[in-house]
Amino acid sequence: MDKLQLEVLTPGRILLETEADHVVLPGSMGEMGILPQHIPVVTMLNGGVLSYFVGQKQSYLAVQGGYAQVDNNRVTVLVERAAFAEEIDVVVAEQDEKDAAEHLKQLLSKSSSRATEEEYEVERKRAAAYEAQLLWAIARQSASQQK
Amino acid sequence: MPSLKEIRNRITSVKKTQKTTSAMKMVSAAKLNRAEDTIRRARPYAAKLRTVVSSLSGKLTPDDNPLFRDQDGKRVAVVLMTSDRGLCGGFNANLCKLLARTLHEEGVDSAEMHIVGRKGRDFFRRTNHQIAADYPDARPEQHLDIVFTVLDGLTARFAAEELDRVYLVFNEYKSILTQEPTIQTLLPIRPLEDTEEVEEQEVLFEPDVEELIGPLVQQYIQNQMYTAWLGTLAGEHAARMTAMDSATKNAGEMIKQLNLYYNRSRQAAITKELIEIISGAESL
Repeated sequence: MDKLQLEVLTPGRILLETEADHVVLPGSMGEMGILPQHIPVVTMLNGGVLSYFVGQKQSYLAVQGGYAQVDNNRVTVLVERAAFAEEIDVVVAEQDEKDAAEHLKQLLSKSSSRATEEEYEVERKRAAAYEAQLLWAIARQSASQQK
Repeated sequence: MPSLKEIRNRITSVKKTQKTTSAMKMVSAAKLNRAEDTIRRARPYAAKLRTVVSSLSGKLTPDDNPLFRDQDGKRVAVVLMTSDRGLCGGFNANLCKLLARTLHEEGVDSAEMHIVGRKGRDFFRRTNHQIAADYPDARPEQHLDIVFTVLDGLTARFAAEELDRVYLVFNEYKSILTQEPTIQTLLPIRPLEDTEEVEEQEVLFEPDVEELIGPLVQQYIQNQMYTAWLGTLAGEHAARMTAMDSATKNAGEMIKQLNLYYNRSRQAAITKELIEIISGAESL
């Protein structure tokens, strides 16, 4: 049977380049299983767990914010952040989650005051950053639970 | 003819300059190493993103996304990336000159300039182009954030048809010895030239084209910016290293010449003194 070429890249590094039999992507509309001979797809990815099978062995990665392209048995995953489940420090991830949640709560309670548009914009960006941090923390936790 | 003491002073001063240039070379080399490493690691991602976007761009029309709208016009915005400091050969000057010439050829008299780096600002302050924003006090690490903010604004205005073109102008980092001044059309997004003809096959988009393409394109542009920024950073150090290397060599050459001259003059002076003594003794 054909194999899939799986590549996972972040702006900083090539995380993974491997052959796989089966890839499960955290697509924006739900999990997406990719087998060889899949039709071409471009999909947004949710933050979450990406897993792939080599033979019977399943491996997990936490990914966040990106895209996957499936074309001609080649799965290219472009994400902002990614980490192997084995590399993840759950304690750090949990702490990150708490911090981000705390910051978000503070921002939300504060932003009810009437702010100028510019301030609002800054706040919104900050909130988005914390939200990303939160999601990333959660993604890492669920990936490391899988291993 | 300069006196012996003057020559001696000259030699000392050149030696000191040489010390400075060679130290600067070392510093740049160290910084370059780090910058080059970053850029090398960033390249695969950029290349892949490019492939993804280019494999899609053939299937897309301006209707799918306003950032593909291609039209002539003279409302041009430029994002120019230069370095803050000089002493790096033609690194900044070549880039600025190329940009000025290109704009002139295109008949754009007054482009809207967003300039990162002091050197670019100094160059374009003397021209008709209108400097919309510069950031002389920002540290290089902050440049990326600045550029992204600028980019958001420009993208929105382009989508609202307030701008016709957005250029990204930077030195592309090819190798330590070559940095290529590059003017890249950031917007509109044009199908890439090196697009291979992909066989017409239906591609599935999830969630759907409209929702997907916006963020994807945004990320693509940002990544282009990021790569350009890394290139500028690495290029600056590379250019400075090369410039300082040749400066050190030139200083060495100069010291050699001056030493030769110094020794000759010293000998001439001694000979002259001897002749004076001998002729004085003879006349007695």
